[in-house]
Amino acid sequence: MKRFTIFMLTLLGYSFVSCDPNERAEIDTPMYGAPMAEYQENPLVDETLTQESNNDPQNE
Amino acid sequence: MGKRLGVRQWLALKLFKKLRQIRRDEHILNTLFWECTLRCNLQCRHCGSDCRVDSSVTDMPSKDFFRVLDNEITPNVNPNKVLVILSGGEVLVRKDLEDIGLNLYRRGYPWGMVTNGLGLSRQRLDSLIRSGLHSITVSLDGFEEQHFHIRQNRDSFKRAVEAIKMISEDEYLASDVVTCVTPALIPHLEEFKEFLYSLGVRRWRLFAIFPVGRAAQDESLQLNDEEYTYMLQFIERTRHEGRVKASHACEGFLGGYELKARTNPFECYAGVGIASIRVNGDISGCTSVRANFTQGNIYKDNFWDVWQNRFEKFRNRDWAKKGKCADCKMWQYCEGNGMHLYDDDENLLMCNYHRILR
Repeated sequence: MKRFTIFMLTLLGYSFVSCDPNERAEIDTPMYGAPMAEYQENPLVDETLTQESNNDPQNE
Repeated sequence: MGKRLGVRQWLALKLFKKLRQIRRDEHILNTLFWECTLRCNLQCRHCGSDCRVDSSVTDMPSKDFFRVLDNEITPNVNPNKVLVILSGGEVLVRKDLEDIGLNLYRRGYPWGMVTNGLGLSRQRLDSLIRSGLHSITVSLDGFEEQHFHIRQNRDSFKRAVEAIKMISEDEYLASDVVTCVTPALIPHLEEFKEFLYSLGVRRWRLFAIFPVGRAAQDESLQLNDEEYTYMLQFIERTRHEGRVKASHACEGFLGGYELKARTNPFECYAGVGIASIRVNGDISGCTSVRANFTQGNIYKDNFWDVWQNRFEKFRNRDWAKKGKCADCKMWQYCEGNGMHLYDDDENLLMCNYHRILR
């Protein structure tokens, strides 16, 4: 019910303002933040690149 | 236009007011800042982390952060939907950044960072992408002259521009540019926009430097009300053009510029969807929020317990209805502006709405 209420309020809210529909689900990036992103697998990630950071002596 | 709300804005804000309350009640964590270092390779006039940057402070060991992440956060969230943002200081000074990133990626967390770009070579960016970097912001405060005035390093403009070109070309990265708009940049905003567009930038956040610490005393950094209003008009025009998505982000309530100078109506997400772990272990909302709003410390408290049961001041803003806000007609939409705009005595430093000219 709560999800439905959120959906309906969002829909109604944006229906009153001129706004690109593609932007509707977008959250504004916080001031000191980087753009919002959801996790996605990246084939470029190299699992063998580094050692476990927990063993890094630099910050001990 | 100006301060007054149009009818459609008024109706939209009324509806979003209800949404805001629902979000506060639910307080679903979607962004976690980790202030992993206060060290920095620049000495900016306005000093990024709230004029608190102190290179003598030791970085937080990554094992301390991952202990909290693994034991207290991951069991309670869907990691895929919580963006971990590494912030500083300048995060690129940490040599174990790739280790940290890869460990986040392995756990299913998207991660991002904000950088001045000075240390972002092609090689470094490639290694960060190979470590699962999802999102990145580079700061660029104008053309060389304006950027140098703030950053005070002759290489910083060129390196930031090179960094922006690289991140804009990458298909896997969500990226944008942040600009601290100073009076000297105001007459050049249009040509600066074209410059950014030519670099490939499609998302751009523009801020005014807020008046705390050294920045408060420096007139060359502070926009007057006329310049501030012009900046909002510029953002609106740029959004209308549709080539670069400009935004004033969560800087504050903007009256008649609501939904015109940013995508969503004003809402301070600090402590509602955003938490931070400071370099000393303090738990707070955004890293831009002052120390006296600290809600706990990871070395003494359970993070999730703090997130669920504290943060009252972030989620119920009745305490802020004082001073200028006490009788303000916009209170119901604004509720005292962003948490980052309060000083250590919980007084509002600046009201964006009252800066806007009629």
